[in-house]
Order: sequence, then C-alpha cells, then structure tokens
Amino acid sequence: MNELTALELDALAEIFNISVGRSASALSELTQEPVAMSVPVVHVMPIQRVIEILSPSIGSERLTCVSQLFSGSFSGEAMLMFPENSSLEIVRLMLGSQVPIEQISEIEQDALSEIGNIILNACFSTIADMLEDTFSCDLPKLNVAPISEILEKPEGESVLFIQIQLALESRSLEGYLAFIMGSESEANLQQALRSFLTGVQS
Amino acid sequence: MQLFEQALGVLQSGVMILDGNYRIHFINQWLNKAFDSTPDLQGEQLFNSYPELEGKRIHQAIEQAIKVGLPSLLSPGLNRSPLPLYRGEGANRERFPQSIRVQPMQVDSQRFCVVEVQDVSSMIRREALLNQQAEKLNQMALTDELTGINNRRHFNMLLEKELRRSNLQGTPLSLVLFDIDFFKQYNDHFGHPAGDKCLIAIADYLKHQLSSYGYQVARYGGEEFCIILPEQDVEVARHLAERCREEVEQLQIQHPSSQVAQVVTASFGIASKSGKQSETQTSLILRADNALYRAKLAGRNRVIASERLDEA
Amino acid sequence: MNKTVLVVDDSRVSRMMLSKVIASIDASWKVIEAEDGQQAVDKALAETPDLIVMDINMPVMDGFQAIEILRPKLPNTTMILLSANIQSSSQARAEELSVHFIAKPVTPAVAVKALSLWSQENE
Repeated sequence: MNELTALELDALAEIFNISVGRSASALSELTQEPVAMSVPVVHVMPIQRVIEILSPSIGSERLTCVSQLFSGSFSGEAMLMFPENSSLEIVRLMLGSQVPIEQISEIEQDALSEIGNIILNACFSTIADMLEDTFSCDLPKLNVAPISEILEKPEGESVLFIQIQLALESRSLEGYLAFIMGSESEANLQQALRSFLTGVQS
Repeated sequence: MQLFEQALGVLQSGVMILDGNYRIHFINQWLNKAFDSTPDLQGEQLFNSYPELEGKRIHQAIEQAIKVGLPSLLSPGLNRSPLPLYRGEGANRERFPQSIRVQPMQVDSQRFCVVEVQDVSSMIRREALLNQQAEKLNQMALTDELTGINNRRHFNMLLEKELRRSNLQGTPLSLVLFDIDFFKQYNDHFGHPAGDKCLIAIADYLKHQLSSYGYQVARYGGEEFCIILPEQDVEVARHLAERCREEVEQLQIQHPSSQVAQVVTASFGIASKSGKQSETQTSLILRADNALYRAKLAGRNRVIASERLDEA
Repeated sequence: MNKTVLVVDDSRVSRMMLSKVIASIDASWKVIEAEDGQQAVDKALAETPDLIVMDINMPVMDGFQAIEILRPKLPNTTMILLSANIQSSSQARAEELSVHFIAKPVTPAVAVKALSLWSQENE
C-alpha cells in the first residue's frame, strides 16, 4: 500500500473522532454520568511496531482486549484494549461497584465486553456512514493476556492504531483501538478513503 | 422446519426474530410468556406494543443490527432488565435481570435481527452472595475474632499509615501498649472462658471510649492491647493511658490471684514521636514495649512513657 | 444579497465537505473557514457572518467557549454547533446560549439542515 496522504489521515482522524464521540454519548446514556472521550492521533503501522511502542508503558501488565472480527470491503479484526487495571477501574466506575479488583466476576466481564462492543460498533457505523460501506461482524470476545499474546498475528499484517483517552468522574484513562488488516484490506481502505475525498474535493 | 420451531418452543431461553420494520416475525414460547400482558406477540411491531422501549439501548441495538448490520451485547451489569420480562406468579411475579444478544441476519436481500434473551437471576443472586462473603472475609481478616476489635495485622497496617503521615506532615504520633496484670493467674483461677469474657469486657470498654476521638484500638496479642493516637504528643497519651488504667480498675472485675489488687488491672507503656524526627514502625513499637516492661518491673498497674528519641 | 457563513472545524475534511455542499446548494453564500475557536472568534468579529457552523471538539479553544464569546457580540447571527457526542449536559448549555445542535458526521444533509435553520431564523 502507498503511504496515506495528510488528507487521508485527516479523514481517518475525523472518522474516529466521531466514533468516540458517539461512543461517549452512548456510554453516558447508560451510566447517567458525563463521559468524555478523545482521539489524539491516528497511525497506520506494522503490528510489530505497535508492540514495540506499547511495551515500555504497559510493562508486564496484562491487556484487557475486546475484539470483533469484521468483513466488508476491508476485513480484519477490530480491538479495543486497556491495561488490565484501567479496564477494571472503568468497569467499577461504570457499575459503581465496590468489589476489590481481584474479585472481578462474570458480571463485570460481560459489562467490559459490552463497553467494547459499543465503542467498536460506533467505529463501524461511522465508517459505514462516511465511506458508504457496509460491514458484517461477530459478537465481541473478551481476552485478558500479555500484549505479545494479544497481538500475536501473522507477519505482514498492519494496524490502524488509535490512542484514545476516556474520562470518567475526574479519572482519565488511556486505551487503544486497533484494526488489524491484511495488505489487501489496507489497500481497499485507502481506496475507500480516496473515493470519499474525491466527493469532498472536486 | 416444524422440527426447529418445536425445538425453539421448548427452549428455556428467549428467541425472537424481527424483520426490517421491527415486526416480530417469530417469537418462541418462553419469551412470549415472559412478556407481560400481550397474549400473542407474533406479527406485532415491537415498539408499537412497547413504546417505552423507544430510544433505549435495546432499541438502538436492534436498529444497529437492522440498518448497519452490527451485533450488540447487552450485559446485565450495565442494563439490568432491558425488556419488560417477568417470571413467577401472583405476588412473586417480578421483572427479571437479562443478558441479551442482538444479531443481524441476512436472508436473500432482506435484513432480519435475532434477539436472544437469557434470564440471569441466578447469576445475579450468586454474585450478590459472593460479594457479601468477600466483604465478610475482608472484615474477618482485619478484626480479632474474640473481641471484634482490630487484630494485629490491621494494627500494623494502621500504624504504618499513621507513621507515614506523621513523617510526611511533621505531626506527632503516640502509641500506647498495655497488658493485663497477672492474666495467666486469672485464667488459671477462673478458667479460659472467664478469661475470654474479661478480654471482651476490656475491648468493649476501649471501643466505646476511644473510637469517638479517632483513636484506633487493637488486640496486639493474648492479653496485650494497643492504642494509636494520631497527631498526639506524649502528654496527651500519658493522660489517656492514665484514664484507661483507672477505668480498667473501675470495671471491678474480681481477680483474687492478682498480686497488686483485688480486681483486674493493667500496665501501660507509651512511645511518642515528635513531628520533627522520623522513626520506623519497629523502633516505635520496641520503645513502647520497653516502657511497658519497665511499668511491670516498677510494680504494675501504672503508666510509663519511653523517653523521647531525641532526648535518649 | 450576499450572505456569509463561517465554517469552523479542526478537521480539514469536514471543512471542505461543508464548504463544498453549501456552495453547491446556494452559490450566493460566501464561505470563510477557521480551524479552531480562537481563529473563529477573530474572523467572526471581523466579518460578522450571517451563519456560523462550528465543531465543539477543537484544540486551542473549543466550540462552546467560542460561542460564549460570540453570542452577545453577534445577536443576529445563526449559530450551530456540530458534535457526535450530544449528552444532556451539553444540550442544556447549548439551549442557554441559544445555539442549535446538529449531529456529526458532516454529510450533505448537515449542510442542508444548517441552511434551513438559518432561513427559519431569518424569515
């Protein structure tokens, strides 16, 4: 694939800004509390590079990952990841539960899957709206594991990688969105961005 | 085809299929029965029958499945009971907690949506029970089983916290350690159950008198107790220990085998640190223990304070 | 009569999309653009636009802060905020400032709605 142009990256950034905006309003409706989310930067990079960049800040902590397989004009696996402790804090803030972190249960796990599902679906529906594309995808799966295990994918896959900031009750937590795609899908995404931009520019 | 419908009919969870206009194309018996009031929902438009669902998360999830083709999960933690579904009869009839999956289904060019509902009452009950037990265990790990006041482990945690605060903020901190005089003889004379009662009586007294001041009381060992006085210097600690000594005596618990009095008495050791110096936990406890030892040597039923570290 | 619309968004793509669609609906609109709230305030005070369409989430100064400054100074301007995240707290704030809300993403329909809100206010 060719490098994305500045304008193409700008379009992607706008897609994800809108996605997290929609997610924040959905999560706020669920919890009846203000929820703020923002997207500082969008990157496209090889999967190995993502591991290199995240490893120092994650250290030996495990990642909580909610993933959904998707297929459409571009296909792959979409993931929402938080360092384990942050994910537990999110779910505790959202459920208002007092349970200690070690005792997280089925209910909290399901709630985490749902939070991931809401955020990932917001991304898919925004992409569908803006790029006039359709997707089908699987129900979310929850996985807690070291980063190397979560991002263990075939060589050559690249990642649309987005750092997100989630603010809940004066706590600000950092998480990551990753869309892992094969090279063909990546080219298709670029193609979709281009035709979207042609419509905008002309 | 009939076989599948029969199978869905005996299922102990809910399944319904909605078409692109949110009309209920199929609903299994379990789910239809759980919905309140309406006899047969098949063919009805879901949001006409239940307008209160409009705009809710379940509505958005169904809409997303039909319009965009995305699946959703509604977890009982975040949405306790999205659909008006009930179980039980008469007075026991109650709306039950649910776990719901909403999935799009494409048949030829038509988009449908499959809604799958589970009753998670037992999971919620089990969770509540587990939470209660966990809370009880946490409490148990920190309190002394016999007297119900803080145990040694909790005392160590509390003292560590207060010491850190004292060292950081430069406030004084005092520790009072005391021991019931001739307790072994008391036990030998009256037996262990009576000994336990004596400990409980003293712990109860301490709990009622001291907690309102923000002082923490703990059972340190067999007949040994301690009191943490945050932000208090040795004079306040001495005054308090002296009062405790008098009150223990005035509980008038008969103790014929005591060599110092007719009733149960106690000996007190105090260690205080000023805000200026910092001190470790071990050092503070050792000084209090040493003062207590000297109070016993000096004849028991008295209060002795350790010399201040900077004067020693 | 020439009318002026100020389009404010930190996303270049959104600005381009809005400008293009507004111009194609009604060529008599003169479109000016700004990238953040501060720029928007400067340009709005210099040009007194008839209509302002502004994103909320922007660096330097967000849409709400900019509208708070501009609302008392430009009482005759129709003001519209764009956001994908419309929570009840922000809705209340928008009502107080008498600005309209349109949900993102920016599509041709957003531009149509913005212009029709302007004509409603100026009938």
